[in-house]
Amino acid sequence: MSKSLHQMTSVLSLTVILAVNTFVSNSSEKLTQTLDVMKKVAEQLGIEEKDLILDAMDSHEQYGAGLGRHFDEVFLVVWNLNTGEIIYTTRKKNRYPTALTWVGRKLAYIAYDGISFSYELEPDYIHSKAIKAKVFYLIPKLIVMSI
Amino acid sequence: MGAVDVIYACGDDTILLTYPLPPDYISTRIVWYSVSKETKIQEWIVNVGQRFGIWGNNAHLLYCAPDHKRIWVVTYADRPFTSYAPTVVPVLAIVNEQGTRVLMDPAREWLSQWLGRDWDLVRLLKGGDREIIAAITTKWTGRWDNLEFYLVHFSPEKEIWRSQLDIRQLRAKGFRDFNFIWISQDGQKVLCQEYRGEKRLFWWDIINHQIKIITQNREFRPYWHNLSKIWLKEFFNKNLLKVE
Repeated sequence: MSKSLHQMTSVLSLTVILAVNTFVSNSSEKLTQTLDVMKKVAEQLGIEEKDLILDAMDSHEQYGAGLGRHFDEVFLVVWNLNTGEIIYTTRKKNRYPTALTWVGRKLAYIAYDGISFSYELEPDYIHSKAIKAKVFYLIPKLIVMSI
Repeated sequence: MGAVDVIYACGDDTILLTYPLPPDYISTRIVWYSVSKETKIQEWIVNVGQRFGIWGNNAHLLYCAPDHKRIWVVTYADRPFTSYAPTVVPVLAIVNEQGTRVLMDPAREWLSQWLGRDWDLVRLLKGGDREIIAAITTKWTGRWDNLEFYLVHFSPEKEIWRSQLDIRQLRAKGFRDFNFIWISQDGQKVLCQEYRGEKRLFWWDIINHQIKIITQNREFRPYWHNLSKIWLKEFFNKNLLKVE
């Protein structure tokens, strides 16, 4: 905290010296907390923080969704941005997610079902096995449907 | 469903999926699907010159009009031979059911990039039925050491506004080595960061010629963003910065 205050003081000093307007984000504290939360999420998954990427957050900035990676496994993770609670993950579900988006309050994601590891998804493998991608929907805490 | 690898929210109830089609996977089937009604709304087969995706020179889907009549994309176009080599450059394009219309001449001008990414410097200013998208562009003047930069606003029909990013103005004020990072919501300010010296992060209002310094001696890179907001993450520590 003292470091943050020091940095803020430096910025404010700069404002006086240069006589220009300075912007200090009101949200920076909350956002720093979000990164702490991501560390917590990674720890729960037993992966390194760098292997968890936030791809999309819902419009209320309540839930984050992204892809996690552990060795060759790629999996979807949805978590509460405030608490770090993992709402949903495809880890160990034999499902390889490739893309995601929030639509309203739902998370929609594309995944190849029956595939766990990225190395299996070479084009030849897909063609020879006729793997189908599916779209899955998720309302936090509940998968509602898939097409 | 085949090999879908792009999904995009188009409003609060519609998702848009793209299926690359063989043999070259450049033609793409685009499907709009209502989440609540569980029905397909419409489907096009279009060619934007590249396949949609998340890698290197894949086309990126930027925005989908709520009436489902057009989508905005970043795609790549050939530009003429330069002293370096023939190359492709990112350009803004509108896709409708009839085809793809590129909104800039790639021989003269293309989308500026930062850290090699073309979508950081493109921003949705107004959505709805009358969308406006702003972009920072690079203009070729015949020499690589004399590129010009512009902030340009596009409507679905054409370019509607432009202003040169006169970097000499900034250099005169002591800002020498910097990158463009982002565009403000009003489409009139550019977020810049010095990569040498004081490493100041600042807004440059190109209409009122004002500079607003946010931080100094700190380095940021994009942490997460979509067309309407961006978070920056500081190198080497956990600080995130929301600049608007």
